[in-house]
Amino acid sequence: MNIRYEQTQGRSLGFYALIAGLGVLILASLGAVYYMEHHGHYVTGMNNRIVWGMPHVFALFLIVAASGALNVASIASVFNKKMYKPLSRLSGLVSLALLAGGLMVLVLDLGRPDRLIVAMTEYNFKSIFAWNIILYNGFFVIVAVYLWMMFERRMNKFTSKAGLAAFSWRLILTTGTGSIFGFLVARQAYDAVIMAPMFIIMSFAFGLAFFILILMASYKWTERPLGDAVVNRLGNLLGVFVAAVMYFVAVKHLGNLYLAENAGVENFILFGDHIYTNLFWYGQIILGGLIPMALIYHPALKGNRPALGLASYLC
Amino acid sequence: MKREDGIVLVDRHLCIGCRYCMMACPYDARSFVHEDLTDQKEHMPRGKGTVESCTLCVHKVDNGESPACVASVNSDAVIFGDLYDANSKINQTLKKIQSTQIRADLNLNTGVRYSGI
Repeated sequence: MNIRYEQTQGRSLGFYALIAGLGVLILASLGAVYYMEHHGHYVTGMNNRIVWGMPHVFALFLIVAASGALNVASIASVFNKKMYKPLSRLSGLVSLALLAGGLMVLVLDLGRPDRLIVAMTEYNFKSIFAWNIILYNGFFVIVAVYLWMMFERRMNKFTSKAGLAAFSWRLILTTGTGSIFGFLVARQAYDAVIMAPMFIIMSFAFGLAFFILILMASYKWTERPLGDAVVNRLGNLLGVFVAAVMYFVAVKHLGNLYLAENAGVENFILFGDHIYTNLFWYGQIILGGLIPMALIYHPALKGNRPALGLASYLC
Repeated sequence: MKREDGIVLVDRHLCIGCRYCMMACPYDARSFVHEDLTDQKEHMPRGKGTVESCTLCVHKVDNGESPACVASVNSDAVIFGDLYDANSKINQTLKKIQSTQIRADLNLNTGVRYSGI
């Protein structure tokens, strides 16, 4: 099969508006970083109990989504589904962008980001956190090589091998990220080995949702046609992933409930009378799980792109 | 950074403020420095953006004195000394009264023992 790629011309008003909008966003974030460094980290809502605050939530979300955004490329290269081949370059690119963004947030949330180099030179091999530094950097290198194999025609024959390497690495990466939380013995809300596979399945869902949004937006803005077959298939896949996330969330909480030592923390999350319980039921379960699944699978909305977009956004 | 005598200190030149140690600590014993610092103590400079914890007053211990909390209670409510020195007061006391470690299930062999909790 021959695929013809064409360069889009970045000369339209919309293109410049997009660049300008993103520029403003970056300036605003830098302003936020300056504000935090100046006033102290407590402005992010962190304290000595909640050690990793809102910036970490966003950083983790982006990093987990990054490995998932590679899904489409993996389906094409590793599982040899030709239909997705034209989309795999975008998939690799979105993945790198999400990881770069997530790591940027993570690094700027450090107390001393200026000492980042220390984290790479003074190494503690017993720390899962430290393993992740290698995993993140390795992911950059492997996906960059993978992209090169895809873009450079002479290298195309190595694409599937590079794709397999990237796919394996992303599974290890997300296992590593999940394990940071899964082995926090001191924090009952996290301490469960199921965190690692749960992070993987969450990455499948978040990453695919990001990819669908970017795919639909970029095709619309450049006025290129995007076939229903691809979009509907990706939508169905997303629905399966969301359902799988719900399954893992249920198993995690039921599993914790079965262990008497966790009854306190589970009661706090599931049945408390405060914002965290509301966030769990209304936010994670209803907005992030049931509604997206309904939008994707309800017969009346089959093939409805705005519905799929909304579903992806909610994931 | 663990000293020969078992006292654990944060190396403020290495700490990047990632707060993983705070997440991992079952005792909530660590805290993060948010504010700008003035009038730093020469014997124990602190660092904005890094994590710190009780130093057991090493600057006093190294001079043969007791940590400030031990000195100020003025009774045997808090006893400080070498656990492994058979003649030390702490060693003698632990032989006589029953004591426990917090979260002993984690098997961390902490240097702090409690009695009557």
